[in-house]
Amino acid sequence: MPANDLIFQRLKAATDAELAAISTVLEAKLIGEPAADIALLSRALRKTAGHSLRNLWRDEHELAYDQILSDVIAEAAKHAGWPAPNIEGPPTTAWFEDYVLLALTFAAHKMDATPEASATARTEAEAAIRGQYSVEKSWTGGAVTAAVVAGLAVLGGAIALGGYAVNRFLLSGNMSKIVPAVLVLIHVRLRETAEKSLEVANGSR
Amino acid sequence: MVVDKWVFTASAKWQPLVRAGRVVLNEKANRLIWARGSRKFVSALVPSHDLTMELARAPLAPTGLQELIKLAPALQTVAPALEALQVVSAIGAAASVANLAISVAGFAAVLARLQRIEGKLDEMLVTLRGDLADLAGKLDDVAMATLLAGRDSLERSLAATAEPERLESARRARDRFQDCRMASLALWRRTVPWLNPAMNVATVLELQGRYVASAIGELQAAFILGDAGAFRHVARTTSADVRAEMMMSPVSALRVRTDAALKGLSKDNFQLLAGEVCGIPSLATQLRAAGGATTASANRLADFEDDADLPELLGAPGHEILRAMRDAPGLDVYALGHGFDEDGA
Repeated sequence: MPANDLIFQRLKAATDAELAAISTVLEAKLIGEPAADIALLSRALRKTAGHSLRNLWRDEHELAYDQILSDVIAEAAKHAGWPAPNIEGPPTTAWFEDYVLLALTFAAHKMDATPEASATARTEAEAAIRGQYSVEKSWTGGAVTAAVVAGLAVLGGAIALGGYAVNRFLLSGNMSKIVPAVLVLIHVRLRETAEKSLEVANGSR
Repeated sequence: MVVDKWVFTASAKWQPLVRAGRVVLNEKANRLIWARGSRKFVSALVPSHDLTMELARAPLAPTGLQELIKLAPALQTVAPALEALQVVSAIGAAASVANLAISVAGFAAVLARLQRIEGKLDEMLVTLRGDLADLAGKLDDVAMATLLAGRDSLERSLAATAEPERLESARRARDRFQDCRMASLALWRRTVPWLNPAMNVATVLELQGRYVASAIGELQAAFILGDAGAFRHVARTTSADVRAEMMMSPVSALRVRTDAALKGLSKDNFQLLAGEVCGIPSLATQLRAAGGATTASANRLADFEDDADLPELLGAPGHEILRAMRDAPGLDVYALGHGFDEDGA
């Protein structure tokens, strides 16, 4: 059992709000005991993401995060209107996650996008999956998807999810739970990175 | 603004105390201050050895300000004001006066900026609770009117030819700026902006900018009124307010916003979340810059204390100094920080 794999690490680093969000979308009721809740969410995520037949002989914490991400990548590409990207070389989780973020961000606004904007956003997302573009540095890169994101009222003052005119797309089957849950796990990563950068900046003052 | 280090230095008289650490160079104000206790003004700086050598090497010994500023680019922006004050030969005083020059011109630019954003604060605060939004809307109109009236009174004071009118206008300006400053502080205390996820960073900085702009206006008015004690009091209390009330923990400010962004997440509304997650690095950048801007504003307000000595140092009344500084072109705004620059300096 990969008791300390990336899913566990993210869940351990998650805030109460992040855990609550994952539990809501996975429909897994938390009991308020951290270790048990983390195991519960890991189990729920992998069970929902895995094939029901294979789940029968697979350990409940066995399904790897990268495997879940591969399915989410395909789903995100489909909703962005792009072909599934080629994945070359060994998987690098952060690159996969950046692709998912960029594709879903574009998918939510693709109704307003021109074919050129779609092609540019796709190029950027595919650069991310090869590690040539990072969401963490998107605000210094002048990227197209960043411009799309800038059109949203980003964090703070814009907390009413769904209060904006976005392209609401339906996800098939369990993907309607897996995709939001994975988005929250990515949220954990970027929040942690941001907090560390702020701590470093504060310490150096 | 820091004048190039090779241009000015402590005079020989003060060098032993500098070496002993009893007096230090206040780079922001370009003067010597006591290292401990009051940290009050000790002495203006004098031309450094390097500058003296540069002047000696010149084919025609330049003694005027025009020649000096060619050697000290940092002084170029305040040259017209220095000329107006006829402190051409008082190089040390020229260095000292640079701080106030920026302060005054900065204030004019702040007011110009406030005019451009008039009425925006209530729009920005529309997401607040109903009662606070009402308060913010009313405050926005009243505060802008008060700020503009304060500016008008301040300019009238500077234009006045008779002493009673000058002082009366300065008093009115001081009171109006003080009212506006206190109103901004009251709203700040009620909204707790850094820990309020409904307020984005731009709105928080806007509110903080109102406070700082009002404080600077109050300082200008107090400078004209000529009571050094009252002037120092305003500088101290406004700086203390910014430090005590408006400083923040960037990590807490980020956390409260990222957590709030997840509220209400469901499989039916997750589409927006990807964009919100993409925005986290940007939010961190904004908060880092906002923290720097807040610190810079507090430091600058505190530095105003040093300006209390200028009328005595320059042998000119406050309104004449302000008038000369107001007319110095090309100076930058510092009071609100620099938007989203990394260091907020």
